[in-house]
Amino acid sequence: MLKVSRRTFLKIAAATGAGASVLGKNILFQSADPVLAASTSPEVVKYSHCVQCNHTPFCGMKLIFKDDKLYRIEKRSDYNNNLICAKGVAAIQELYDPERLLYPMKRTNPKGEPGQWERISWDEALTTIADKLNGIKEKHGAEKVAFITGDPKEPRSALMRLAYTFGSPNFGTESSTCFLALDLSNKLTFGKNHFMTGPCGPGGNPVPGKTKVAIFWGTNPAWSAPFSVAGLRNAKEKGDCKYIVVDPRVTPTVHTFADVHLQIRPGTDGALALCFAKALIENDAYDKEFVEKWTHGFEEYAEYCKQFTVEKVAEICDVPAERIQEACDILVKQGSPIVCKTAAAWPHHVNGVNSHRAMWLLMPLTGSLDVPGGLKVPDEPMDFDMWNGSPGFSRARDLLPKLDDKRVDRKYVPIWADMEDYYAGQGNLQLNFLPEYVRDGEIKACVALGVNAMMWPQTQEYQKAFQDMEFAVSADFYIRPQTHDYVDMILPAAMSFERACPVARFGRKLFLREPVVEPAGEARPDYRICCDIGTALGFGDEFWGGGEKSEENCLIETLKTSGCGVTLEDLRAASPEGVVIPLKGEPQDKKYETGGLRYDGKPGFETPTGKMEFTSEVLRKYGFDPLPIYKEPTQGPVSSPEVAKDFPLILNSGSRVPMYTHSKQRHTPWLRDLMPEPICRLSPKAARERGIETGDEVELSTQFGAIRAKAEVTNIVRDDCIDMFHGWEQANVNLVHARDFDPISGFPSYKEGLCQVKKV
Amino acid sequence: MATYGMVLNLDHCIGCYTCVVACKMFYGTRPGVDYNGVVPVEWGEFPNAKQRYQLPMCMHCIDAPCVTVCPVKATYASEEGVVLMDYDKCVGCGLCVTACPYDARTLVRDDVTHFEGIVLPHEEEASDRLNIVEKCTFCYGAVKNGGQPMCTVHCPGVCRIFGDVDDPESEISKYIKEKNAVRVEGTHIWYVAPADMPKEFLPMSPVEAAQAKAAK
Ligand code: SF4
Ligand code: SF4
Repeated sequence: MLKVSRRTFLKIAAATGAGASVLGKNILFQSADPVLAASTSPEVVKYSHCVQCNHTPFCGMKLIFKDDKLYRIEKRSDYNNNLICAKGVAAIQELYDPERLLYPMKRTNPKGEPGQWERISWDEALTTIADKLNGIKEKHGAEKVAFITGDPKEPRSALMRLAYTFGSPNFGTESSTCFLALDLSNKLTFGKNHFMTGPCGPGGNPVPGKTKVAIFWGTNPAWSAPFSVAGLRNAKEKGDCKYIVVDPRVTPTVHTFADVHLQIRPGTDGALALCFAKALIENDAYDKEFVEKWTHGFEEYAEYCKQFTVEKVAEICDVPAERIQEACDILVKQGSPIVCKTAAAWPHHVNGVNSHRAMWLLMPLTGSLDVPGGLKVPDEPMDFDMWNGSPGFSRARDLLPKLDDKRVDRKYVPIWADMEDYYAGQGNLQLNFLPEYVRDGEIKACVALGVNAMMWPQTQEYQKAFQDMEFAVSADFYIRPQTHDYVDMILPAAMSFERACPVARFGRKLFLREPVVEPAGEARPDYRICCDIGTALGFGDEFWGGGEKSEENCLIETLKTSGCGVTLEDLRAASPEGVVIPLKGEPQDKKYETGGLRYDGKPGFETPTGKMEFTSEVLRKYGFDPLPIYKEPTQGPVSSPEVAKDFPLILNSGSRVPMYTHSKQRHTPWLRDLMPEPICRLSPKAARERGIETGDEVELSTQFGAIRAKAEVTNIVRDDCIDMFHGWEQANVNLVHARDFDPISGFPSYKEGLCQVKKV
Repeated sequence: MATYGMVLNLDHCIGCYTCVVACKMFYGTRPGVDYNGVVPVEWGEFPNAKQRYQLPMCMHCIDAPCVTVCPVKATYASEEGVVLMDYDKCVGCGLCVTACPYDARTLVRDDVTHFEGIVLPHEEEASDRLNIVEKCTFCYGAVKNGGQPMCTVHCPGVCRIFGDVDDPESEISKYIKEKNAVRVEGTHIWYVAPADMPKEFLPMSPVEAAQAKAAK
């Protein structure tokens, strides 16, 4: 075989002029002359953080270079998140992957066919984009252009700035199928999203000696946030906190933490939460004073909870009643504060927001809000947005409200659209209705950063939406046929070690990430791509003329508008260490008493009633039941028994595996070797009944179609469930999911389909 | 004199594979050449179903069979009890691969790298090795420089404790005592296991492992 020595490799990777062979989708580094570089060169240490999963943990990385090439990745000690996982280590393979997309490309054949790509210059790319988008703006209005980010989450604030400056409110993200419905649930309850939930957010982490009960509910930090496990386990070993783990699967989180594991039928979480509430209320184990003074709708809620008896809920959730009783007893006996640690599995049900509210309300019910060991709200929040841009930088606060009436999602999900918190720098279009927006001519073009159409249920409808747009451009690390076969142009994005924006933030500590290598080929950081497009569109002033200084200019603007008082120079001077922004006052508990939870600084909550709402007045106003009601999944053995006759298994997809994040990392050999093929997991009993063994090829079918995968017979799933990991091009599970959406959030129901599995 | 050992706390393992990938990076091993592994094992049935992980690797046997069979003394034990390879001496006969009761050794036969035709910087050293046998070294080089094995450094579950078992004050000695870690007889590995883990899944002594291998 042809083998390129290290010395040759160095030359190739260093040569920004390395040619691309543009044959179909293979863009390879080409060989070049060897350069001389001794392997005994000294090691040079640089620092960065990982973005292999979801760009919120910022796991610290110590990068060891030799001859200017990344030689090794190690964890970074003395850092906030100081452990990395297999995906983090494997970033070295992504950086040097010869299949990375290195040049802007335009297609030479019609959309919908396997893409044939021709390399173009950035100039041509930017001119074309500007012509197309400005043309659409002139003819139909700027709002007809959607601006979409998938993965990474990092460039969101920059893309918002681009969208709003251009004049379109229609900026959306993959989070409209991921976790933002949790956020909505928080807003309906508290008026604002004060608490970063999920495995990566600080909200929900038990504090030793303070927290009495921790409920890990539908989350598996062992695989979604491995860096956090040791710390969480220390907390478990130290205090007298009891752990309830609710998960339909037997994950490592279960064996690491659970005092009680409730392995419920998917989609029944809401009933369980209401049962817990009933136990707390009936046993007088709730915080009467807090409920009395600071909440709204308690009577109605308490009355509603009454029907969720242990016996009934044991039947609904299909777990032994003794186990539910045990969990109730723990809650009643241990007292408060409690924390509930949740994740994006929650909203993937048609009743997702309400189920999550039912769970969420356990915390205020027990007086666990903004007290040590409960769900703490950050003191003196800084004006960063969730993606470490700022509302000032993204212009969500000044420009977006004026564009609000041009949002295209309001008629599908009015609550979602109306509850967007522009003040906090948020404005997320619900993208699940993209096929409808395009069909109705409401969206005619898009700028996408890292989008993968496989994330949506009935993927083909979204592919068609991209295809039917007048113009679609997408930036990415790779050519991804499932998406790029349907767009007009692709742009090469710089990977994490090649870019600077945004800063890493741990509460009040900021770290600058200096790029540690030059972008491969002609790849550009997404922040720069946004500035370059903005400049090409005619907004040179707003985007500092684009170019190489883009990231720096964006960082300066973000830091300035965040009001954190730290400048880019400060961060540079401290780098690789971070800069802590001290509190001006003293840390405070129970900030609802002192006005810290409302924009107007008055005591209470940012809700219609000014109180924490057990019955949501927003929901009532929009014609929904204001209670956190429990509803059976639309597709399920109980609600659709006729479907269940042919498709008796519950299709549970969308959860994490240790080696991949969503559709990513399939290019990365070390990780791909750990799960080379799509895996359909079923229990030993389900497998026996179907004559299936591990390794058999199986067909997974629903009313909507069928895909093929390799069977893995495993204890981790229930007998009535299938666990299928998503994001496989050759077996995209979202092709067989229904487009059933939660009417409140518009979220798809990835955890409640019905399916059958058979050997082929 | 130090004696190196490692505790595998199977109760802490979260099956994340970081140990496997960190090791592959550090040694730049070729596709299919893994010095360690993570193997899920299961028992019980729903609603009491269990899944845990075995952590196979070289057990650094005392009186290791691989050392005994090597005709050219390429396989040897260091004074600290670490079973090592001298690649310059190895003739690739593969006798040690057969002799290893744990299948912890790989004869590197194929001149392949992870990206076809490309040797990445971290793979360069290993790319010179062909027709020789590779295995876990307890990261002897790093350890001698005051470091720790890569799998141990990077394990997010904190399952792996490494050090000098002769020194009663070392972290590993204290850990063994505190956790009542069990020594795998005839090796330099100790383990802590979940209380309900069936015996068949626990790490075996070289003698038991050899029997199991023969039975296969
Ligand atoms: S958990 Fe893993 S993938 Fe995610 S940031 Fe940390 S090291 Fe990277
Ligand atoms: S790194 Fe640690 S927790 Fe992860 S699989 Fe290896 S031993 Fe287990």
